[in-house]
Amino acid sequence: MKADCDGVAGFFEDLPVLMFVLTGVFIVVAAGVWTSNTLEAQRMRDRFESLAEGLVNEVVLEIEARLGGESLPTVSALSSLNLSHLAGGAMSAHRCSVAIIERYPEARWLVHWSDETADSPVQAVGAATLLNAFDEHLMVVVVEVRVIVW
Amino acid sequence: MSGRSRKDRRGQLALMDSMVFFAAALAICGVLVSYARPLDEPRTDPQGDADPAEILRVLLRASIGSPVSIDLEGSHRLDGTEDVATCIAVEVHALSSGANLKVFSSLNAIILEMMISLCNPAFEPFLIVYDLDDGLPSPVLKLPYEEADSENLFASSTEIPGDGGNPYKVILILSPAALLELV
Repeated sequence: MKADCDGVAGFFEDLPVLMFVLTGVFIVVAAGVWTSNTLEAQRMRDRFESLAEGLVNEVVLEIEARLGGESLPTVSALSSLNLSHLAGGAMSAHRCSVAIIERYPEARWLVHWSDETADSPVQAVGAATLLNAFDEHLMVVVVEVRVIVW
Repeated sequence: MSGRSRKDRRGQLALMDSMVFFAAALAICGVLVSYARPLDEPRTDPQGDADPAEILRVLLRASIGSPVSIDLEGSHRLDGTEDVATCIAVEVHALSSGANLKVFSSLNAIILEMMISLCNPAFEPFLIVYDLDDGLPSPVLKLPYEEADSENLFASSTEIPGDGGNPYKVILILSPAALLELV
């Protein structure tokens, strides 16, 4: 009988110890899982960012090579630019959307291409750059090349 | 009695050990969590679509877009095709010669509107122009007129040819104050 009492008492005495140990292990495991997931997502975002910046640079180089030369491109030439082969060639493993937008004096879409076959994005990263261009009144306007990669 | 006391002491020691282990687990957890920055944390750097050097480059080259008349020793009329750098050079030259800032209020409003439309909405733009011939004592022109009051400022500068022959230094400052207020 005395041994039974000691056993029951010992069990209940050990419960707080067990609780502290189990909670500590759970906290360490949960923090480890969360950290590894976050680092993986950051690595993926860094990769997407470099892809998006590379694609923006490619589009700008293409614009300068085809339309600019030594002077500025025109808004009408930008509007008729074919972005599909540029975006399609650069992005084989990922999906992307490329847009050229006039920012000033008025805000309007000039040309846009998006991968219509893609699923809805889980994680998307964008990059953009600003350019000058001539509009139809020979005024220098500001246009933006914006890329979203997912 | 002494056996019971020894058992109690062992139980207390086990409890103390488990608490030490728990504290160590909390410390490890803190280190791990601080090591990885959450993705939804707002960024306060102006890279990407808010690079001040890029905004300043396209701003100075862009046309002002709207006709502006300036009442300066006989009315000057800008037809809207003049670029911002030329307009700033004309204005700074006139201000250095003693002209009133109010004469250029409509031109300054256009330039300010351009800066705001080109900047990421999370940043407030400020433009400051110095006359380099004056040895940078104080800015000749500031747009807008109040000071940027944030500690984290991002800036880019360039020189433009002045209307009177001497170059002017144009500085664009982006202040993330609005972003920090939202957070």
